[in-house]
Amino acid sequence: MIFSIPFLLYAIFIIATDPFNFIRVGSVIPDDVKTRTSFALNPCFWKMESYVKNPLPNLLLGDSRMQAISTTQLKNLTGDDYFNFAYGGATMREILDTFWFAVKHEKIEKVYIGLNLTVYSDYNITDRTKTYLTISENPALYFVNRTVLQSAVYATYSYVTATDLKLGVPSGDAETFWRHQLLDVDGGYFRNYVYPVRYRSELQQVAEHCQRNGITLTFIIFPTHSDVHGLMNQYNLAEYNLKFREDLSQFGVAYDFDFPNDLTANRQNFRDPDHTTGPVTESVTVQVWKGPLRDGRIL
Amino acid sequence: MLFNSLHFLLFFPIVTTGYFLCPHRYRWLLLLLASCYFYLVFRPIYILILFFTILVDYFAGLLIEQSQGRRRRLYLIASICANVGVLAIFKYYNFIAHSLESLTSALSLSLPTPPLLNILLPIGLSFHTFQSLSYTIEVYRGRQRAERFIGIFALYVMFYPQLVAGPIERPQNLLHQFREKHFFDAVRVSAGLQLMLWGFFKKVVIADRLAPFVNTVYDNPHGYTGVSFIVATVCFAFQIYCDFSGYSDIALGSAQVMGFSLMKNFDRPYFSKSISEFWKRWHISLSTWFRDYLYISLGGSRVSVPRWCFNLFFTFLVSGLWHGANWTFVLWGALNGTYLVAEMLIRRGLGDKPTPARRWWSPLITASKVALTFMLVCFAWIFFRANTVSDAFYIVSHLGTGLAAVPSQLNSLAFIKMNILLGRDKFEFLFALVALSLMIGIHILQIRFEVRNLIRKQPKWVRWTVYYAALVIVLFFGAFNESQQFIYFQF
Repeated sequence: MIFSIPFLLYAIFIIATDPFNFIRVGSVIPDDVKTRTSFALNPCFWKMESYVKNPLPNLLLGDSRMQAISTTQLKNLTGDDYFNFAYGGATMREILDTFWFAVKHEKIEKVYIGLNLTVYSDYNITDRTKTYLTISENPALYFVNRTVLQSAVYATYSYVTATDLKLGVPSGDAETFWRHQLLDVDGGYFRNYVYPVRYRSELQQVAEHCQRNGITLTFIIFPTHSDVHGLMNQYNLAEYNLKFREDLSQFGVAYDFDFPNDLTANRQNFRDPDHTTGPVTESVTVQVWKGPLRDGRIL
Repeated sequence: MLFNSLHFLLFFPIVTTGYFLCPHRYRWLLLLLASCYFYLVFRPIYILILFFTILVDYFAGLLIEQSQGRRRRLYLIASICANVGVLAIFKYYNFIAHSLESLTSALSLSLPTPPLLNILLPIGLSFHTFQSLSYTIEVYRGRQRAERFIGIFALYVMFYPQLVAGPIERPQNLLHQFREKHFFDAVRVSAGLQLMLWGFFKKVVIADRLAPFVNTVYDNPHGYTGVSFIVATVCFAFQIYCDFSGYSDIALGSAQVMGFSLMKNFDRPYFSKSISEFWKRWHISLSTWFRDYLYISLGGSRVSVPRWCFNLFFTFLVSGLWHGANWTFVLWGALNGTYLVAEMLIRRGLGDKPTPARRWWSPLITASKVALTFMLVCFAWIFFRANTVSDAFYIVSHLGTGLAAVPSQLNSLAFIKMNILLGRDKFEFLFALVALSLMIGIHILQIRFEVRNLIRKQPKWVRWTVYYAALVIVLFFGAFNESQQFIYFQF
């Protein structure tokens, strides 16, 4: 019995903190603290659990660029409710798994997938959705998951000390971050780019499912700064860039904002090489959902 | 019910507690009911198959013992036919039908082919039929008295720790234990729990972590080259060892907690210096079953050399078929049979030589033998793991592709990620390596020491630190995201 005391105490700790609101018996940590900690550590888990509680028929899938799209703005523009199922740093694996997860929980009507060449690669294999899927099948695993433990510790510390841990917030000045994002992050993706034969096949299955079930499938290639275009050419990926666009246009309507133009040439439009500023993101949203198309083109 | 499930983590303490609280004369009933429940969780209807083999072999045992001459033999044949018949229908029928269809198609014969049956393989069928068969054969050979009480016999067949994946017990070892009174012994219980923990470590920390690396290549081999096949095959060698020996350890440990002693099923097989030694250390309960009931019945080694070769080869061919209804398993068995025949002929050719005196280079010779044996075993594993024969031959024929270019590409992250990490997470790969190294280190320790005794002799704070560390590693570093059914459940 004495041997099991630490485990009992640990279980009580997880129940009391419930970092992802999975147990739902009442948590001592408020949601705004959890949003800054648990959500930052595993947005997939957070969003999947939220979606189960409140599934919607219209989805936004993709990485941080799609995550920046405001569902409130979409509601104002179209009158439709959207669930933003995009995750920062999402991989094709996560996007595809999330689509099938959503399909199991709700009759889907519209899907918007945000993709860029850095995401459309076999090199990225991270799959944070597995954590939620595994735990939802076997809830006891919630108590022995490292991410849950880490989130519980961070959330507790943040709450007790009233500190914002700023998880996922870049440090350093804007210029340093710009260079890091361009050379280290994008450079890494481009240097190790692998044309996604398997992901393409799976995306095709998604497109076929959408066609069979009357789901509107739309792709958005978000704008990136011309520095990224230059880096991509350095790594001789122009051919893959074209192939990427060909693939998307075969699967659905594809809005392309990522090509040399006034928008992508102007650094003022970007927080970093891959992410536009708020007003530009809002403008892209209006152009796609309402029109007219000004800075992009339909492939 | 899987051992690595919450269900079992609740089932086991409840049954064990009930066992020790229950009066001795009713313990067999408690265990039998628990074992029935354990099996019912998989697919309830198939428990009827178990009951059928239990009834057939219970009465066969009694009739064999009471009979003389030809009748004894007839009852034994009836038992063998019933057990093998069940296997033939549920495990091999569709395989035979498919193979016939392929054969008639290849020969351009328009013959009617048997219809396929839409049935799932009952869990543990191969194991409990063999265990039940060993009972009737031992009664026939006069080495085991027939069990009079059907409840105890049923428990012998259905005892839950070893019901679905062995070890395949002999009646001389197990039957009498159900009549013995077992008391709660803290040392024995602790030892059993330690063994279970060790089994869980091998299964969820190592085996399940290696599985995605293996599946990535073997489920779609086209598009991969030599280095990927080698990495995936070596990963499989350790995956199957950790998966199956992990299961066996959990089975032995859970039985030991209640006071039952099951036979050891693995003895550090990858330390073997020859294929024959490997088969004395790998799945010992099955290899000894085939040795005692097939190989020796065919004449064993007490026949002419050609017949000896046939006996060895045929025994392993059947062993391969036992593992699964697929030609890949037959080829795997045939390959192992070929290895053993070759080894036997080489030994005969070299003649009996006195064991050489130990020299400074002796460890190098030993290491070379161990490495060569491991390579041969891994080569055979290709056939065991491949989904189809054509996949197996594709892998074998492409084992050498791209190897010459490997040294020059090792500085490419993309090459390492796609060909060595097989597109998987590098943390998972490194952690698997660390866990494997830990396991191998403990195996090396076990050559000299009984590790559990070593731990037992330590002060309480050291023991508890080790237990807590092991539990934390299993719970928090177990690859639950990639949770796999035990590999041998499919047999």
